Amino acid sequence: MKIYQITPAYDFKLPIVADIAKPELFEEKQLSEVLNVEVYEGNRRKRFGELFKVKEAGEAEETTLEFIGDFSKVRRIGRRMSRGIIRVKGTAGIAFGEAMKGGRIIIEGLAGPWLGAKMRGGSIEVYGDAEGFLGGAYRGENIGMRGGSIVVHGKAGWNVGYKMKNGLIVVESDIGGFPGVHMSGGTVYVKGGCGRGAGAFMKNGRIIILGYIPSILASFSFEEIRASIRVEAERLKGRFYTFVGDLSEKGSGRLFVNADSNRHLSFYEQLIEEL
Amino acid sequence: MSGKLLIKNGFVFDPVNGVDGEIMDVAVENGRIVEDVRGTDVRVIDATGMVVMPGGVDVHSHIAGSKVNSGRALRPEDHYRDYEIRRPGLRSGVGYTVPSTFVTGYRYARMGYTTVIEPATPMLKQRHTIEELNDIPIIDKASFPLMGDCWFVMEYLEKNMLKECAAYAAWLLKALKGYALKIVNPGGLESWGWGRNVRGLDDNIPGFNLTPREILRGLCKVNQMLNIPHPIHVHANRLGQPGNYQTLIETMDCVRDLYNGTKPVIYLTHCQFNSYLGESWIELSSGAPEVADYVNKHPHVVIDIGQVIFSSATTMTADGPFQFQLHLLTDYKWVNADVECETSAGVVPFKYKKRSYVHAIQWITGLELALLIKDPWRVFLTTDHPNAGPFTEYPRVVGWLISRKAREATMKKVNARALKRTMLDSIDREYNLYEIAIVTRAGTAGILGLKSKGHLGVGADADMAIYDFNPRNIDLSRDYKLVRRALRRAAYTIKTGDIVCVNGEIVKSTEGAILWVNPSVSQDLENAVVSDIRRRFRDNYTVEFENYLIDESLLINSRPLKIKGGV
Amino acid sequence: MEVFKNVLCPFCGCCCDDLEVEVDSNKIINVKNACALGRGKFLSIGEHRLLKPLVKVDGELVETDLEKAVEKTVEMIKNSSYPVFYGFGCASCEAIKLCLEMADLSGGLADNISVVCHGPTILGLQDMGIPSATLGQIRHRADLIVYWGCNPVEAHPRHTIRYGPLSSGRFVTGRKSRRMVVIDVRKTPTATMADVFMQVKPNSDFEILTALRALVNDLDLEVEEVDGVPVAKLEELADMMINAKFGALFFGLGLTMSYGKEHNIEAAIALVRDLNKKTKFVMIPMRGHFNVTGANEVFTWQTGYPFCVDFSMGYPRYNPGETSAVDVIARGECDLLFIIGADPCSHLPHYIVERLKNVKLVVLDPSITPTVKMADVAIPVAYVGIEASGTAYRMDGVPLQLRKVVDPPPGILSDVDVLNRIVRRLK
Repeated sequence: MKIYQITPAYDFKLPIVADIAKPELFEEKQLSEVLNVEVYEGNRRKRFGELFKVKEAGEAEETTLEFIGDFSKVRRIGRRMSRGIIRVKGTAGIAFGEAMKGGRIIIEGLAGPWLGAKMRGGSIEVYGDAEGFLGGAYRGENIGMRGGSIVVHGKAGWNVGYKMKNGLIVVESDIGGFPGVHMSGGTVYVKGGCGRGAGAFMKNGRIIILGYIPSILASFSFEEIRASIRVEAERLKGRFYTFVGDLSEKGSGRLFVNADSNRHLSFYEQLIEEL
Repeated sequence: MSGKLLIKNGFVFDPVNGVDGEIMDVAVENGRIVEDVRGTDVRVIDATGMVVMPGGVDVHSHIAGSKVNSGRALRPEDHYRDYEIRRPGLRSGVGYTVPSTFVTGYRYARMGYTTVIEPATPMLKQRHTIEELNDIPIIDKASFPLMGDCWFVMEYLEKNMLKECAAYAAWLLKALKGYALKIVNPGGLESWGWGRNVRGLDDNIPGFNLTPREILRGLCKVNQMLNIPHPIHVHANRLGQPGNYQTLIETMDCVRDLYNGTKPVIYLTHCQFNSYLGESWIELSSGAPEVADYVNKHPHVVIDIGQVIFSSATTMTADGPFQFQLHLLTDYKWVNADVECETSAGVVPFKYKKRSYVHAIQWITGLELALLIKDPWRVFLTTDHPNAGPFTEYPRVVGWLISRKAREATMKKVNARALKRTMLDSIDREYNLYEIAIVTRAGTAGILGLKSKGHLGVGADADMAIYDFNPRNIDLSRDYKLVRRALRRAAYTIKTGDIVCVNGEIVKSTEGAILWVNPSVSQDLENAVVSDIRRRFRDNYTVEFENYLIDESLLINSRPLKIKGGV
Repeated sequence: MEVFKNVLCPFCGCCCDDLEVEVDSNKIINVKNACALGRGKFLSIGEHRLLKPLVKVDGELVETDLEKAVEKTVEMIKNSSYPVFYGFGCASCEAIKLCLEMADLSGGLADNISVVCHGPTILGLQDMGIPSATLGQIRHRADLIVYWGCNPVEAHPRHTIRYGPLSSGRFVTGRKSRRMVVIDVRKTPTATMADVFMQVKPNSDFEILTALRALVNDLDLEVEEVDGVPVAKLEELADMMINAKFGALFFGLGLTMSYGKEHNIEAAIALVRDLNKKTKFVMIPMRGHFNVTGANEVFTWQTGYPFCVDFSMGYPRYNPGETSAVDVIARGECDLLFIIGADPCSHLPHYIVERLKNVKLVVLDPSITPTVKMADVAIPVAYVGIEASGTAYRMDGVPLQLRKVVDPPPGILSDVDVLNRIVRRLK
């Protein structure tokens, strides 16, 4: 299988929708055909080759697309991809890897909002920050991420795991407000802190916050203090306040909060004695 | 529209004129059907081996107005995957269950439909309905104001002032450009103002000394007094509740004595939703045989079925309490929109699943109604779009009606327990094309009193559908899929003499008309009633009397129907 | 002197339609029944008027004629690879339709100002629905009225009298038979009218709403206070809501634009929805401009989406955040901005306005606004609702007619007439 290096032909100003750019395209078509595929730049139809320079750069076990440069204006790359590897050395745009089913995406740089939106399988790894709606759904839809994994080594924005149903999201640094909002399954694991509103409207699933959380919603009920939590193969040790919710949604999701980073929540410990 | 057209050699189905698949030519000039056309400027359409019918007339489809728009806004997820790209002369838009206005017009025309009725519009928001109807291209349309729970109506009926009530109804139709009287869950909507509902025809309506029965009978009499072409259009009480078939039959029966042997006096809409047997959802079964039996024996009643399609749907009715119950049942998102002094409305997305026992019963009930009611002039094809499924799936319903084989194919996939508890499997009846033409155009145009529509006699509007299949070469029952395909994309759709669609592609976008009725009321009576309404208007409404009226200039293409008789 | 009656006020979302406007020799000399804001608008239309079309030549705005300005606009739209059509808070539905047609024809993006006011209300609705009603329903039935994050006394001055606690209806008559609750971050003039005023900390609305909802659903709270508000006080409020025969919640930008945005609205919707299991409760957003609701309605029936509609790929696409005008401008993605019925240079954050320097700007406006001063083409239009007629939608979705009471200054057309000229040439 081949490695292709893709670079912007010029500095993009207009939004580009390149949802056809995925490993399958390069496996199914000759490079010359790929360059002729139509892509929208703003309201103009352009040839792929007009917007991007593509060159072959060796062999690999799987078809690999290397996007090198600033792709922040280019949307929906890797949409519905099911195999192969996409590597970004630079900036990724909105809805990168939307609804991906398999394969790997590695972003060495910043990622835009809706990264891995409605993802079903495969893996995404970001060596940088991601924005809002990580693994999320679009407006009005019931379900966001259904499977696979997203790991962000930097920060992430608001609404991480928006309407998530299955799969795993790991963020190593801080995130914005409302993680796991409307979640119905899966795991959001945040090693940093988060904003307000964690787990709002959640029906099921798990949210783990190791850092600071400003408050616990009133519709969550304190359950116990746990000494360890399992995330995939990893076993997290420590003291974790465990909350059940969102009870107004008749939910049974779990919110785990590291006790050591959240001394302002220690009053919940009194409830244990009452229990 | 001045063009001359000659449609040659088609198999013509024109039940009003007794034409049953005979090979004939149809001539068009100046937007109307004529005896013959001559000259070098005649455009000839060779319809050899094709079916020619009058344009489809849909008597009940929620296509415009505030609740339809709420449905559109509520459901972006309904639109994402179904869109129409802009083409020269045409606008872009989206579907699926609640299409945008332009797409609504295009998709109806694509199926050979040329007239569609929006059957529920709150008077206070009628301007909204008209604005949307203006933006629906090609097809002719009309709207039914929701008068059942209107305070002025209820107050007149409370005091038994029938004449005044009639004059008020007449004034409303004229002032708001409506077409017929719509009654939804009589009494239930006013009760919903307090979060309640009525349980039957003889419940007292909170705040009024009146019952649903009195509303129905009162407005039925008003309708007759005014000689409105369409009977009262009724969405009965207790819609969507197990055991409600009895209420439906009681509703039909409550105006039986008002029938004078000429035309039907009550139209019950989407009866599938009102024909359930059983005490609870678990025991739910089809009450269609009982309802059909009543309809077969009583010529004063006309119904449409509201057939369930197994797809996603968006339920939207003026029946606020029903919509809330549906929300509680499903936990899907819920819009409620009460309208002061008049009505309520609700919207809840829905999905009909083949494996669901209840949904299968609903599917069966609709088909049983259509197959067990013998007279096709009194039962019409609808899906109560978008409540039981989108109108774009009518060809699928036609398939089930013309072909037992089509029904069997679906029955294999639906909930088996539901089939066991009903009789659909034992019904062999298959509609022929003549009957299909009745339940989709001739009959619906007839019950709407649209004399120039639903047929191809000389003088009729040149609204036509030509479908590319040869009824003599195929067996409808066996080749239902071929028929279904042909109905989805008309070979030609002709609207007022314009060829608007060829092979399922829209080739021309025209302005359809908005039809409304102008009943006759004696000047003195009208003056008295209008001044009464005007005097009390501020007590009821938060808008001024003058700003409630719809000026005819708002209608891009206005087509009033002057009615003789009246009070 | 001529008196026009039943005139609709083209100011706020209340759309009061009982104004009496006295006109003498094409000049408005008095306005009756209006509040100070509405009256002020009618009486000040002569001020700062834009009277001639302007075109930028070598960085300077120079006067030109309408034909040339239209021609220049058409040329700019045709050359644009990603035009944005934005505004519509103060435009008639008829003008909005034409702008949507322009956006459709030219492959642009159309968005309305709800993106910076009640956009979160729409997003909340798309997840939850909304239990609502027309304003008269509240006047006739509501025995409990809650204003949350809004200050009608100053922003919608006649709201409380026409539709709110001071109104009188069929089943509930007057202030004495209603309870009024105000929830806000500061004691506003509206709050001083209330039976109960609950002051909350800024950005704590979501927590408070969630707690209220939990109480309405009979959950026991495990905390004694929620963001500084004692639970006992919340319990009182929850009981008041449950015990109302008909409750109404009005909410404003204090809820839509504070921390949580659309989630605040979702929490409010969820609360009102759950209240309907126990009593009757409805909610209505306090829309600001007189026809921003109409913009949402027209957008929705023509495109399927209430705002943020992108036609660049030939059909309507919708993803607020991606296809919202403000975000597109902030990311510097559009090359032409067409503005009607809005003044973004005064209202948008400075860093976004900075971005506009690299964008071609066309503005249709009756007066000389900061946005007009930045424009490449500015075309004067009549004040709709005063100098031109049309349709507007009240905050509760009731459509009403805007009336023309005076002629615009000589040579000035309505926005509909100007847009018609542009659209005709784009076809």
